[in-house]
Amino acid sequence: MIEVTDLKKHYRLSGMPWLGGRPGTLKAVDGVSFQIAAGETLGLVGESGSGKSTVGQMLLMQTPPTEGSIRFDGTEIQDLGKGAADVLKGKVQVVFQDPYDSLNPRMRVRDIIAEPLRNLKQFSAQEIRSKVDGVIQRVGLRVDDLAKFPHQFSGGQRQRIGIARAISVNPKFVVLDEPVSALDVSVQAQVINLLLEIQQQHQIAYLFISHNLAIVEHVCDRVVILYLGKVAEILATSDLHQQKLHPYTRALIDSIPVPDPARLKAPVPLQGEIPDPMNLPTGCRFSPRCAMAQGVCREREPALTDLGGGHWMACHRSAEL
Amino acid sequence: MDTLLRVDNLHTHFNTPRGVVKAVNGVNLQLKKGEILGIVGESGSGKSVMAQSLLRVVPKANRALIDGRAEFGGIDLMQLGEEEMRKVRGARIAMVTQNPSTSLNPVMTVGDQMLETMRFHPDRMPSDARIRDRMLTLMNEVQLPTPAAIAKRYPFQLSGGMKQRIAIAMALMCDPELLIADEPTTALDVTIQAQILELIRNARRVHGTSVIFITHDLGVIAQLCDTVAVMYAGKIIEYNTVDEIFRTPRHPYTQGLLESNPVFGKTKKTLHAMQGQPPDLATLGDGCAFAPRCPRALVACRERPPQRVALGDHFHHACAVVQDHGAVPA
Repeated sequence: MIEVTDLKKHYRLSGMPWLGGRPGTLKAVDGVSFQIAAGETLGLVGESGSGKSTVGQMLLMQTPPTEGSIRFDGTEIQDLGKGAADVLKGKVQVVFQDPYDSLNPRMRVRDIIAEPLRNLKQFSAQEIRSKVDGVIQRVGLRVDDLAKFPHQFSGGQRQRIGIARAISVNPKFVVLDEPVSALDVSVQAQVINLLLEIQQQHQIAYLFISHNLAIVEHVCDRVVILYLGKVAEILATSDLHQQKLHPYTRALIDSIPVPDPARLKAPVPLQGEIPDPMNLPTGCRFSPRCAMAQGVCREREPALTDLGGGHWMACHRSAEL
Repeated sequence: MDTLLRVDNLHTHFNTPRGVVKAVNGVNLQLKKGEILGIVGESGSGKSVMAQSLLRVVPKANRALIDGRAEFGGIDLMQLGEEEMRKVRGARIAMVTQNPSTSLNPVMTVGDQMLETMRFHPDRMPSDARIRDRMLTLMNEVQLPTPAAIAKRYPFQLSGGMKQRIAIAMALMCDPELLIADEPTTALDVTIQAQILELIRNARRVHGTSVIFITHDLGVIAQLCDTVAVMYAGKIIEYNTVDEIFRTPRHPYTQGLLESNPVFGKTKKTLHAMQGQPPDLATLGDGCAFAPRCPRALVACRERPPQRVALGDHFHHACAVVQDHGAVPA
């Protein structure tokens, strides 16, 4: 349903000479390709600076790609006229990370949820009212809650309002940008279960952006692992348990603290930090931190290679893993 | 081992337009020398206010009450005069906070900031040259590459992980007996989190520092801590060794937390979801604060506050339904 091919987003920066900065190009997303099928949840995982939120913004048409193509149901979105693009924008929705910043504090819940419906300019006031009444109950809140303001709700309830707003237009595709990272553990599970139920009923495709592989494993069908704007690996979440993994994916998994004191982990699975994106390493972008890196890794960038069974990896040493 | 800190019946309340909020409402705990105590709880459970109360940095503006004892190396922190407290704060008890971008001074080099701690506590270190040596040693210890060069930089020139390393090195400058770390890895990526946790273990190993580590991440608790206090609505509802908390959780809230936490490699079809929302602290009644969400609550739970049930040594839980040994009647 969604096909992203060789997507790039480069920012030209003037630098801040008075602070010792130099002008240059920041390659936030540098050639990313993947597909999402109808009703599928694709995880997009990476550390801060990997470009995962920028990919989400391009799919939401909030920022145009520098290069590459995004197709929805076969239609290239960059070829759409303004009218058609607005209609598509209305059908592609988003749930943000922070339920405190993403709801307008001066709007009543009814108006917050109705806004995307009104933007479509297809429904009468009566239709909008009944849709909003339906959707608020769908996310486990009450019709009386529609008259309230966001500050009258807890974090988990606000995220339910954000979800109601996103699904009010019956979207085919929703970008979930860290939707539960700001929530407490005890309400996180409620919101995850709600998102999965809604998806099953309406066959919505999700792009689930997260840094938490434990949640991604639970929610997603497949995962794209991003590192410094490039795809390191694409695989089914069930394959995250196999041995043959990109060294970066392996390090991410090994870094998850296990909630079991009887299973103490090796203390530091990955040394160093994600490098400055203005000053990319030569060869494989992960090579400076990779325990397996050899000469070739520092010279040539590895291509994303099909290992079969939907498993793709960009690693020179994939045969030896 | 010797007890370093003993907290008895600590209360911190605030006045708000909606009533008195009992942010910390009767906390008891003990910390031995070299122990890492984890405080786990959700937002609003009072874990950060408890830490601020121990350091006596609770904002004065809306403060209604601070009460209780906090015996630290033979002195009661709650009774100390401001001048005396200042000698403890940053020297004998140091703190690392969640966001290193806001805890560091943006217009001072990180090196100067580290040296400044020593200027406030001259009794902790003798001559000037040795202060600088100590700074470089500690920067090395927290694995900052090229310490001398980094010392000349300003916070904005460093990554989040590097800033947190600086904050930890700075906290260790005066060789504190107690380090309070309030969600120091929450803003960091998992790979960097693993590195920072190792620094905390290392501080304990090298300097014998005791640590109070505040977090909402049960994985971090399991991998780092010796003992755990679970907080809910200003109270410790369960306090035990890390093995006991994870193997035999007594309190229904602790059990619910462990079940609703997604664990990598243990995927279930539907996550166990705890009912309801965290309580509003301004409208708490007399009963157990968790009762409205508790699958095992009895009528009495809603009416009377639960008593502490001792679990050997100084540990305890606070559930009226669960009797002492963890076996919850089905």
